[in-house]
Amino acid sequence: MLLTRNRLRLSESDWGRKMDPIGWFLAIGWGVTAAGWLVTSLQANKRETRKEYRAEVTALEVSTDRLLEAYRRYLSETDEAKCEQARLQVHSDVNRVRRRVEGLEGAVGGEICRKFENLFEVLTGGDFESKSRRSGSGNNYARVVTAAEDLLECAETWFRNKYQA
Amino acid sequence: MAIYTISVAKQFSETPAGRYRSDGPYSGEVFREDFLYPALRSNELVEVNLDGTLGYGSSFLEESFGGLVRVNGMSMSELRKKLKIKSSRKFYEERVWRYVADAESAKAKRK
Repeated sequence: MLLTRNRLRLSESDWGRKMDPIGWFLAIGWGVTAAGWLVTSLQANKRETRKEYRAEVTALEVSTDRLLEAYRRYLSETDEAKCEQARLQVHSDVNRVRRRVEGLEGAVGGEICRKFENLFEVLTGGDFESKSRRSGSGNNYARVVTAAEDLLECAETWFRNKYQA
Repeated sequence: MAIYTISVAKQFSETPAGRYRSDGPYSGEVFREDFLYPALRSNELVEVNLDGTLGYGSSFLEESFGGLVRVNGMSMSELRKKLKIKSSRKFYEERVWRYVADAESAKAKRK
């Protein structure tokens, strides 16, 4: 039986107050469903963002490892042509790491840039590209590794605190 | 005001390297003494374009730009008026001015 407002003889102001229980049940149901959808959507977005940042931090680690390998070859190579190739690779890899750092700066903050600046100075300062440098002089390698570890630790600590704490 | 432009990649080297003249023909000292400082003396405004190279070492940049203060006696304020750095890699531009500022601080401490 179709219950219309006229048949029930309800006034316009009475209509809302006297909505039948089924109407209220449906309204609450839809409200809960919408809220559930919103929460699920937010959680899914957060998971995706976490995955993206995880990938960025991992990419930074891979780039940094590559840079260290190029630098190690540059320090240890005795063949002039191969040493020159390693030197060029160092420059290329420094720029790769720099781009990764700049990509993370917005999320991690200025600290990661300062860590990269330190790595840049330690790696390309001193006798890097100097004629006085002797092959096999690996004294600086330890300092470069330490600076690289500081950079990666900064990124990892940020990720852990943000997504795993 | 006319701008004198120096492109490091096109006019100097795509792979600048080293600090001193003894380190090679494309070192920071060569760039500063043979290109940059003469250009700054002869022009009101010099723009140095850092793009197009594989990259820069800190030694090269410090000698090229910090050396303008340490060796050639220019001041930071003078360089702010006369020198413009153009680089799509903002990191290098920031380093340049850091080296200039550090050279100025070191010079002030020595006085």
